Amino acid sequence: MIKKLLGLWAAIRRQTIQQDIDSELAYHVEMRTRALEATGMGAAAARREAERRFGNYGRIRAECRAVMMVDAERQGDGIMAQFGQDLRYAVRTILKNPGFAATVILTLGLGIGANTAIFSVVDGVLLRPLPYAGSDHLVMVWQNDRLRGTELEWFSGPDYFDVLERNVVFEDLAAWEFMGATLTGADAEPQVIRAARTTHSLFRILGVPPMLGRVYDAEDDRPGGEPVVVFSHELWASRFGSDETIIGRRVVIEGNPYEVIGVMPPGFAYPTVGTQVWTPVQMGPTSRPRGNHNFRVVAQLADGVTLERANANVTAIAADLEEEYADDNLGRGMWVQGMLDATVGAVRPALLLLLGSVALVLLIACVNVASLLFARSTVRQREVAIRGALGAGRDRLIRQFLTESLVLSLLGGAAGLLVAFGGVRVLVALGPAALPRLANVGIDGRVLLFAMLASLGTGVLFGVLPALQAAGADLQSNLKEGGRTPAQRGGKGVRQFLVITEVALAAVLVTGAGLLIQSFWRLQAVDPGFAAGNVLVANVQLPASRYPQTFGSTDNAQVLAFQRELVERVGGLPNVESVALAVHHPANPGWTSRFTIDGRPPVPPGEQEEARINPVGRDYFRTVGIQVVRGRDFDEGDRASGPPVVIINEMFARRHFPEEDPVGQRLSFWGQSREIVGVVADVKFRGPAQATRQGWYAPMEQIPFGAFSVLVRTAGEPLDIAPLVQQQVLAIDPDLPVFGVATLQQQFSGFVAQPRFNMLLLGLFAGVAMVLAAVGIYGVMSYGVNQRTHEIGVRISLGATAGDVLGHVVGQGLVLAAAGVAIGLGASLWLTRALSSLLFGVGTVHLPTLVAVAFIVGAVAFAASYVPARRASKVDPMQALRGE
Amino acid sequence: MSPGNPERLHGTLELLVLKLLEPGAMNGYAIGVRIQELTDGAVIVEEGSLYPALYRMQRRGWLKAEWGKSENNRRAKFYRLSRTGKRQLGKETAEWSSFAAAVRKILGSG
Repeated sequence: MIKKLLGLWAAIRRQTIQQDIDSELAYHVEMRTRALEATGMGAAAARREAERRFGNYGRIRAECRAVMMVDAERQGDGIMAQFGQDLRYAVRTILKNPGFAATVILTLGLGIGANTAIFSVVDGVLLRPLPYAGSDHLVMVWQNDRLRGTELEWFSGPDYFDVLERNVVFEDLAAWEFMGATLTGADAEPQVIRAARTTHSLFRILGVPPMLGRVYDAEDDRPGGEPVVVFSHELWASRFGSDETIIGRRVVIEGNPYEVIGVMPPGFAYPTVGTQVWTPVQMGPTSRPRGNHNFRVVAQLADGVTLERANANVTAIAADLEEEYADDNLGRGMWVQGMLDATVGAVRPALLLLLGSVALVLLIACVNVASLLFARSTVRQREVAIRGALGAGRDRLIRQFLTESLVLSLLGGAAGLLVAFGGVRVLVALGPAALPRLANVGIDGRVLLFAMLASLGTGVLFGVLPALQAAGADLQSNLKEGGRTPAQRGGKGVRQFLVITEVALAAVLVTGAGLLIQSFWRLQAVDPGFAAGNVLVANVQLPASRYPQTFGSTDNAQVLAFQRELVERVGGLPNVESVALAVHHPANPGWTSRFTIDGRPPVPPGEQEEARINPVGRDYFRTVGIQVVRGRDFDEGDRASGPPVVIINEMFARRHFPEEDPVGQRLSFWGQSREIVGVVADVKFRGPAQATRQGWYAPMEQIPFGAFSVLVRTAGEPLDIAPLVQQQVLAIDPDLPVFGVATLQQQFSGFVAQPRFNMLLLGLFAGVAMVLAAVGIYGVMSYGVNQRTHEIGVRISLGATAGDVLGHVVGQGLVLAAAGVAIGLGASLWLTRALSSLLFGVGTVHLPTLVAVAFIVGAVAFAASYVPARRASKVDPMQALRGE
Repeated sequence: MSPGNPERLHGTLELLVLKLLEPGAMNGYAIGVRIQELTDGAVIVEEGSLYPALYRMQRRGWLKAEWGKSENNRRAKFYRLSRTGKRQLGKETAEWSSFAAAVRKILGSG
């Protein structure tokens, strides 16, 4: 097939050449004829005279054709044969020197493999479209709050309906909210499920049809509609054994019956991974208060509408609403964000940084291999000269060298795939849970294509320079002088340049890794304000159907009874030091609320502050190790019937009572005035990297909630007692699941999972970079020592000691390294700016890190040049001189 | 002066073509006319013999050829010097000068 095509191509080319020659020669004769006519000659005579002057047309034509065809024949029919020759020659050359080939393939395998693995993550997380029809038209619509300076605010129900009504840019809109839910009955353990209450338009917008049954429509999704539910494939499979008769059955969620109407296909998990059921929100335009912001809004842009236009439209609507409903909407704007951006925008900088870093590693690998090939091409100059003398043209020589490079790089790519297969598994395992779409990551056609292109690219990159050098060397002088020529000195310069380059690249990576390590240390060193060790967290949610809960009321007897009994039972377990309940555990940001301080002038609307609120049970501060710094802890007296009290954190005290003692003052929220009885230490409840926020605690008995965490401080490993805690819950209520069981330490370290991931990977890349750079320095130094054996022999025979030689060689290595480090550190001052959003507590220019990098790279360079230097110092002068 | 032996003729013709193309591109016919004007027909006997020479020089990479419009708006093939061609011109000019100087010295016509 290919042969036929090439044959055809050659025939066409022959044809074209013939036509070219004919028209050029005809042009000449014609021009001459005209010139003669201009002198007054008759047309026929002029033509005859022109032909005579031209000479033997047939012979000249044949001669021209012969000159041009040589080339065509060679390019056409011969190209395949030549490639075959080059390939065989390349394989022979590689096999002749397996050690060299193994080094190259291993180096490239590391570089290409690491790149492929990271690319697969970037591709799966950042690049792939979301799995919904028309996903590029999907957007999130957010509110923002100018007064608080927040950007990702949710919608209230009425605001959603107003946008639905008034907008001119969306094809369709949907709103959803999370719903805490317990699935009971069906002859299985009660189970906490992830549920979303959505408008029926959600499925239409996402364009995903159910796998079984149907999804809910406008009829189901109206106030007072029948309670229906759609299951995820995962829930259907795990809890109902993929039973197709599930459709039409009733299940109990939060104590209420729902009819199952559909099952979604596997993999459908909007809005979050692990969402298991969807039910219609059944909301009307006014059925929710405008001040309650529970809904996230997703929309489909109408055809041809840009993000800018959509933004302008919702901004205008928000401005109108602000005027119409100043009480609730003052300061609230709206904006639109692309859905992919909303999903992965937060991790993009980190992933791109990793991709950039790993590309540097590959670049170092390329430089290394180029340097190896270079050293070898110098050795092979004689061979090249002979081939040149035997008639191989310059382009042929270059092609042949490149063929060899490409064979090597493709083998490297194959090795890289092995590395990538392993690497991807490690990455997915290491990946922080918060990394969205991690399940998408894997090796597939796109990733393979990437690996292939990366291999070919590297092959050309590292192959071109040595090929040009080898083919460009003066053939004659190499033949004559046997390869000891100025070209070799040039080669040495290039090799040194390559080493400096790779040391510089490695220094950049090590600096980046150093900064990330620094900032991770600092994150770890932040005092969270509580003692996370040996504390178990477990969550319980009492269903409102069996434990009536009136918001703000203290008359929630069943809830209180359950909580008291649970604390008593868990407190009696072995190894339990203390137990406490809290609505939010210390590593849970929870929610905030407005408040007023009694006796102070009212704050104008819009300037009101919010503080985090956390209702906690007795012994909470002791159990999680938060220090009471003023006043008292909650005690026996702070019951539902006792006087309302509150404990504030230090931040709150500093902010609102800088001059006076807060204890004894009063503050009000949710319509109740409370006396401040104590001040406790600040807690980094939003993670170590976040600023401390003001907040306060109230006794849980005075603000009962059915959803809470159980915190248990134990004498031993906290997870050991987790099953016992679960047993105690089931002993009180057999229909109650316990969920989210983990140690407090695990919860808190979730905040640093992403920084840890970044640090580990960049550290790994920096390590690989250092190894490659060390191999590069070693290669160049030992090659230099081999080349200079004679000179070293002379030096030693003239009285240089082993120490002199050692110092000389090591010194040369260090000079190269120093140059590389200087350039690398200079570049990193500029490049690490890309890191700034990922750093914590350390600037992008950090002197100790720079010094450490210089020291580490210097040490590696020393080690890498020491071995060849020792070999040099042991040169036997007699042998070296005789060997000449 | 008679045309001399073919080898010297070849070399001379090539040198002249390189020299002529130094200022810019020309088509084959124009090159032929210029050479005849400048040498009174001493170098080119058959006008057509210019073309194999042009093709050879193109093959060696001294000349680049492309089709374009001639001054009378006809399609014609234009030749111009490549970088190698420029180098070659310098080299051959120098060789020719020293050769000519040597001959002149011997013939005593200096």
